[in-house]
Amino acid sequence: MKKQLLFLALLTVGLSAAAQKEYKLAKSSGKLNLNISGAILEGYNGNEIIFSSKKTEPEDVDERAKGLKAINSSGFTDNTGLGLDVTVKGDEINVNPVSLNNQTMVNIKVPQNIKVLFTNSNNIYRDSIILRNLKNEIEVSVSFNEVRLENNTGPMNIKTLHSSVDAVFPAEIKGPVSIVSVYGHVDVALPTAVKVNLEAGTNYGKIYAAEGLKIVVDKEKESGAKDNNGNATVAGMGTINGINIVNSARAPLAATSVAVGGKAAKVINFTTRTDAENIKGKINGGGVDLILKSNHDNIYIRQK
Amino acid sequence: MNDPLKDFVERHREDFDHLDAPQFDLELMKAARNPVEADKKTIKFDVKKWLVAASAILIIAATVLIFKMSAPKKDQSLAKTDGPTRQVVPNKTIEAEQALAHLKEDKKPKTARKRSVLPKPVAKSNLDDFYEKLSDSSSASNRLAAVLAINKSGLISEHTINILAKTLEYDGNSNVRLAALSVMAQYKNDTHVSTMLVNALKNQTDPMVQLALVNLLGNMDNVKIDESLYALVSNPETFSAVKDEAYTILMREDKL
Repeated sequence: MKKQLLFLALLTVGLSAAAQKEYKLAKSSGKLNLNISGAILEGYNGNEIIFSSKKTEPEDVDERAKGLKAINSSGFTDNTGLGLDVTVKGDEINVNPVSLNNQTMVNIKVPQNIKVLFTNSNNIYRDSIILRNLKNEIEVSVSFNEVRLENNTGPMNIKTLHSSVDAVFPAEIKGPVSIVSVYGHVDVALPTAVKVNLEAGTNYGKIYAAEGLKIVVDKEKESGAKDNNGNATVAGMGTINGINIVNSARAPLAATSVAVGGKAAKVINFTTRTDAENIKGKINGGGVDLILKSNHDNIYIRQK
Repeated sequence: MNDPLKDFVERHREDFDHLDAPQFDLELMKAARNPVEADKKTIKFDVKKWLVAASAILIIAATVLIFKMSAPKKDQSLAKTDGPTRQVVPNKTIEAEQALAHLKEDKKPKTARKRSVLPKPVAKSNLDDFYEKLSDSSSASNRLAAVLAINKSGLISEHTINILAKTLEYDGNSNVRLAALSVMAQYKNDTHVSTMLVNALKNQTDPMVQLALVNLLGNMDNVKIDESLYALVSNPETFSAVKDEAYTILMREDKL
C-alpha cells in the first residue's frame, strides 16, 4: 500500500512537471518584444517575467541527440526550454521562436511596468493573442492573429490586417487607445461611466453602439468649401441618444441606416462611397482618446 | 643705358651737395593740414533733411509694428508665459516660408490654386513639447498622444504640417501614421497639404496607410494621383484592399 501511494505521488509530480515548463526572467521594467505565433499575456504584481507552456504529453527525447544542441538557420537558440529564444538587450527583451513550425502556445506573466510589443505577419504560424490585466503600454501589429484584450488599462496601439479585435475595458482607461483593422471587425465593451473622446470610422461596414452609452457627436466643422455640385456640408444633428453619421461628399449616392442598440435610427449619409461612416463624439463629456477603425467590417461599441 | 635722372643728378651735383635738410617746422605742418580740415568744415550738416528722413523711418516702423501686433492677438495670450520676445522670431521664419511657398505656387494654373486655409502659427514652446514627444522612439503611445495633442491645440502651421508628413512617412507605428494622416486630412484643401499628401502616397509602404491615403485622395478634386494608382494596381506586392480601392477609383474616373 505504502509503495503504491509513493508511486502515485511520484507519478503525479512527474506528470505535472512534464505538463508545465517554465522559464523565469528577473526583469520588472522595459519592453517585451514578442515575435511568436501567439501568446496569452497576463499582467500581475511581480518582479519576474514568467514564460510557461502546457504540454499534455512528455517530449520525446532523442537518445542520439543527447549531448547535442539543436541548431537551425533562424539564428536563435532555445535558452528557455520552451522553444523560445529570450534575449535581453538593455531595456528590451526580445522573444523569438527557435523554429517557426514547432511553436506552442505560451503563457506569459508580465509585471505591471513592462511594455508589450507583439508583431506577427505570418499567415500560417499564427495563433490568437490574449492580453489581460496589463497596466502599461501595449502595441500589437499583426496580420492574421485574432486579438483579444481583457481588462487592460492602456495606452494601446492595435493594428490587424485580416483578423478582428475584441476588447473589454476596465473603468480606468489610460489613453490614447487606437484599434484599427482592415478586414476584421472591432468590438469594444466600455463601462457606462467611462469618459472618452470617441472617433470611429469604417469604409464598408457599419458602426453599432449600445443605447446606454450616451455619445454626443461633434458637429462637423464647416470648412467653408462647397463641392462641385454646390452641395454644402451636411451638419450633424446634435445630441440624440444614438449616432448620427456625418460626411460631406459630391453627389449623394445612397442613404444608409445605422442600427443603434435595438432601434434603427435613420441617418442620411451622403458619400461617394455608399457605406463610409465616420463619427467623432464624446461619451460622458470626453476624456481619453479612443480611435476605432475598420475598413471592411463593422465596429461594435458595447456597454459593459 | 640712357638714364635721364642720372644725367640730371650728374649735371646739378653741386647743387645737391649744398642742399640742406629743412628744419622741422610744426607750424608749417599745421598750416599744411589746415586746409583739409577747413574743407571738411565746409560740408554743412543739413539738420532739417535728416530730421525729415528720421521721422519718416519712425512712422514706417511704427506702422509695421502696429500691423504685427494687431494680427496675431491669440499668439500673445499663449505666449504670455514665455515673454513677448520669443514670439517674433518664429513668426518671421514661418511667414518667410509661406511667402516662398506662395511664390512657388504662382507658376501653377489658376484653376488649381486654392487659398491657404492654414491658421497662423503661434507660441513656440507648446509645439516644441509636442515635437519632442513625436520623436520618442521608445513609445508609440507617446507619439500618438503628441499627434492628437497637436490636433486638439490647433497649432497648425506649415512647419507642423511638414513634421506630420514626416511622421506619416517614417513612423514605426501604423496607428501613429494614421493619426497624422487624419490631422493633415482636415487641411486637405490647402495646396501645400495636398501636395504633401500626394507625395506621401508615392512613398508610402504601410498598406494600412496606403489604403487611407488612396481613400482620401481618391475623393478629392485637383489631385493628380493617377500615376500612383496605376503603380499600386500593377505592383503584385500591393496589399489586396489597396489594390481594390485603387481599381475602384480608376474605374469611377474611367481611367482604366
